[in-house]
Amino acid sequence: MSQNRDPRTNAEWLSDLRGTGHVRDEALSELRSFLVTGLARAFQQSDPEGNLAEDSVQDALVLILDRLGSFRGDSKFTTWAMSVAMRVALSEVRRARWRDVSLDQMVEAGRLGVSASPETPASSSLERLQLLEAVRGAIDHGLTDRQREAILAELAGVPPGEIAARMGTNRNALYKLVYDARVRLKEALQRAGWTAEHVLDVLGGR
Amino acid sequence: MRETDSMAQADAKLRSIVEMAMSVLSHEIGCDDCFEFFAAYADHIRNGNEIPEPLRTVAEHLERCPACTEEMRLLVVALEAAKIAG
Repeated sequence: MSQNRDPRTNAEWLSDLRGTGHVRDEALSELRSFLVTGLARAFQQSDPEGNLAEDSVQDALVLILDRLGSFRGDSKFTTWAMSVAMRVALSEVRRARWRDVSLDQMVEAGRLGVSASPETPASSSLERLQLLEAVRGAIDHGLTDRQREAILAELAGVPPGEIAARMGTNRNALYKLVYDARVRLKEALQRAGWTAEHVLDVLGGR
Repeated sequence: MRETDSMAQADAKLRSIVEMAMSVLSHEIGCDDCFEFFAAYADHIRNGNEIPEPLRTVAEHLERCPACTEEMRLLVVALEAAKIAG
């Protein structure tokens, strides 16, 4: 499998990065190079100049050094460091991508509309329409306003971090909000007589 | 109410929300909790190791969270690129 190019053990990384002078500078330089190489490849299509990688690694190194004490050692240190850098870079990409989109627009984009197609394919069966109405009813009448906003924005494909930012919360709290909404929707569908097997049959999922 | 979705869009959204509802589990973890184990999970899949029990909840989260799935995919791409460059 993967050949280990890492010249340091996890303990050595921690020790060197906590050190001083030449030892610390060399470790930082190697880590920086490792992270930039990885991010540049991961975002090469959207960021061919590599600016995102360079800027993100600058920010990530500050976080990594600040969080050395939270590294548990259940992975390679370099993997953990790359995960921090990836979170920084991807958050920036997503912020830029959704910068001009309001929460209302996200919610609207997630609403379940009726197809504009004049055709009536097999999937537009009576049962599908009944399922659609059951789901719409559960969303409109079975959820709180915040649950509705969160789940519709998620349905529109908006990343959780962007929804959370618009709603003034964090990703974990948003996940809990959406989780509770999913439970309510499931219960509403089951009360209306829908089972998982039945909806899969109607939606052609198997 | 949106009335302009294509049939494919309308079907995809209906399928997504029904799957979101019907797949709900009692022991799910959120995105931030999932991220705590991102590195360990990435090492396991890069090494071709079977995912150990404590990381199963990460795998389950990735199955239903497109944002975290994208992040994990890009993380693995980045790690492979950095390894090759070395």
